[in-house]
Order: sequence, then C-alpha cells, then structure tokens
Amino acid sequence: MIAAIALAIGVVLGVVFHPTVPVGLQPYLPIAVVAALDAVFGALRALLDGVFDDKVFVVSFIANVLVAALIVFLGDQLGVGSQLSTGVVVVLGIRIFSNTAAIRRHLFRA
Amino acid sequence: MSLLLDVMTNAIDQGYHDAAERKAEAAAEAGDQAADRPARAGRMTLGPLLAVAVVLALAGALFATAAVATHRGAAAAKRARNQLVQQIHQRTADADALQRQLDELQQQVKTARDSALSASGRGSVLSAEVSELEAVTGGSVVEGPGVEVTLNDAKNASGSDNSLGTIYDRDLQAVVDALFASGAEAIAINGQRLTTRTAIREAGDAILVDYRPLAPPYRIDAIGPSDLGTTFAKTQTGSLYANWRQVYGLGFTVEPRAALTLPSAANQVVHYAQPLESP
Repeated sequence: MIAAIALAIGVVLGVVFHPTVPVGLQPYLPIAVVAALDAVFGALRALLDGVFDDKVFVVSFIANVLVAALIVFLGDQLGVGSQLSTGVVVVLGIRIFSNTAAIRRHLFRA
Repeated sequence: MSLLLDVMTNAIDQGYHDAAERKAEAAAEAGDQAADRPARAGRMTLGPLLAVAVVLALAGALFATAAVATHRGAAAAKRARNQLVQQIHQRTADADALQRQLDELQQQVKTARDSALSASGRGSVLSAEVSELEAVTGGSVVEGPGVEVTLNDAKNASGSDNSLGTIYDRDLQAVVDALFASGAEAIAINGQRLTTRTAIREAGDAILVDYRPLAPPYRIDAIGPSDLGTTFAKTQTGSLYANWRQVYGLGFTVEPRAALTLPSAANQVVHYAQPLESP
C-alpha cells in the first residue's frame, strides 16, 4: 500500500517538475527505465513469494540502474553501444516477462 | 540457450533467497518457532520502509521523466518538421513572386528597347533580328501550332517494385530530344520553357526542370510544323513509348494543338560567353 503510494508520488513529482535530463545522460535513460522496471517487478514477485527483503530491494534497484547504464556507456565507448543496449533490453525483458508471469500465477492462480 | 534458460528460471534476484535463508538461520539460532517457514515481509520497521518508499518514488520519477522526455522529443520533431514545410511553401511563394516581377521587368525592357530601335531604319532591322533570336533561345513568349505530349506514371507504379511504369528524367529527355529532332522550335515542360541550358534531371523522387521540381503528369508542349505529331510518332522514341504504353500501362499521349502559348524561360543569364564586338 505504502509502496504503491510512493510510486504514485514519484510519478506525480516527475510529471509536475519534469526535470530536464542532461543531453549526455539521455541515451542511458531508456536503459535505466528498463532496469528500474525489472527491479520493481522483481520486488513485487519476491513480496508475493514471501521472500521480500528491503535491503536487497534498495541495493538491487540502485545497482541495476547504474550497472545497466554503465554497460551501455562502456559499449558506446567501444562502438557496440546499440548492440549492448539490445542485449540489456533482451535479458531484462525476459526477466520482467517471467516475473510478471509468476506474479500472475500468484494473483489469479492460473 | 542455457544462458537464456537460466535468466528465465531464475528471474527473481538471487539476493532475495539468500536474505530469506539468512533470516531463517538467524531465527533458528534464536530458537524461534517460525524457523521452518520463510520469513514473512510486513514486519518492517520505519527505517527500511522509508528507504523502500524513497526508492520506489525514485523509480516513479524515473518512469515519468522518461515518458515526458519521449513525448516532448516527438512533439519537438513534429514542430521542426512543420516549420520546414512552412518554410518550403514560403520560399516557393517568394520565388514565384520574384519570377513574376522578373517577367514584368523583362517586358518593360523589351518595350523600351523596341521603341528606341524603331526610331531608325537600321534599328528596326535589328529589332526584327532580336525578336527572332529571342523566339529561338526561349527569351520571349511564343505561340503557334504544335503538339502536346503527356507522360504519366503507370497506374500501378506506386509500389516500389514496379520501376518499369515510372517516368524518370531520362524519359523526358528522350521525348524532348525526339521532338526537337522532329522539327520542334520551342518546347516547355509543365510550363517551364526549355533553352539550350535547361537541365532535366532527377533529385530524389522528383524530376527537376530548370531546377524546379515538377509533379506528374508531365505535359510537354512543342511548337513546330503541322506534321510534328506524325513525325514524332514515327521516330524510334515515339514508337518505343507507344509500345511501353501497351506493355507497362505508361501514360503517353500525343495530341495536335492548333494554338499553343509557351512562356519565356526564367533563367537567361550568360556568365562566361561574351558577344563578339561588331566590326
């Protein structure tokens, strides 16, 4: 409940203040978003599995976002930025998908 | 594949299981009765709860920022495109207005020259010579009988694979060459008068005549002898296009016209050649 409210507050803050993303960071925003989505869905599944841990969530969220951005940054420097972004999106996309499938099984028992 | 399978089966972060095991061990050591079932969330104290809430708010802000940035980027691109389209229309209108002004001024120059020349006998001879040369070079409006040749893309040519039914610059060039060879004295394509220096070329998908883009259908007006149409139809080019009309559905018609009026050419500036001083 509190988590949903916090999420909603964040969305409202983002829409109201719409902070401008520095041009240098803009390529990493989509990857950061995918990583954050993965962390949030992973946490939701852990909660339903009964193994949620606040410390793991906080650390994994921040680390996921930073590492995903770092991988793409590294790829940009080496000339394989778009390929690495695709790789990150594929892996995180699969994780998000199977996590949502597990959440669905928890919620609908189907 | 094992990598992808691993990602799919262990979608949940390993850290959650490790933390749950640690909690269970700690509970077992403490002699808690709940050692045999996983530690339940929901007994969080205020500090960790606040941390989770802050991180989730951060995630929400991140999502909202990304969404806003994406939509704003799309809107900016659309705005820039509209501005460019508007500029194109504006500049085309400006060019048309300047062309009209040029036509007017050329007419004034012609009138002034004619009145100055008609004062003497030698002048009137020169005046006749000048108007004859102007008709040939495209410097003045001309009228007379001739033919109207229309070329158009085949009806089903819009697909990119059917390039055989599409009119290209070389089609216009071939038809114009054949018309001149058949005796045409003055030719205009969609109202653009051809001179010896007029380029017919392709840029992107548009055909440019005298650097102005034209849209199909292409109407080629040619003034010439009364048998211009039949002579043109007998040329190699004429019979070739008549054949292609049947085979590819190309739009190609040749119609005789009793009276055609062709405008003067827009660009008549000579940069390098200079007239020889008369002895």
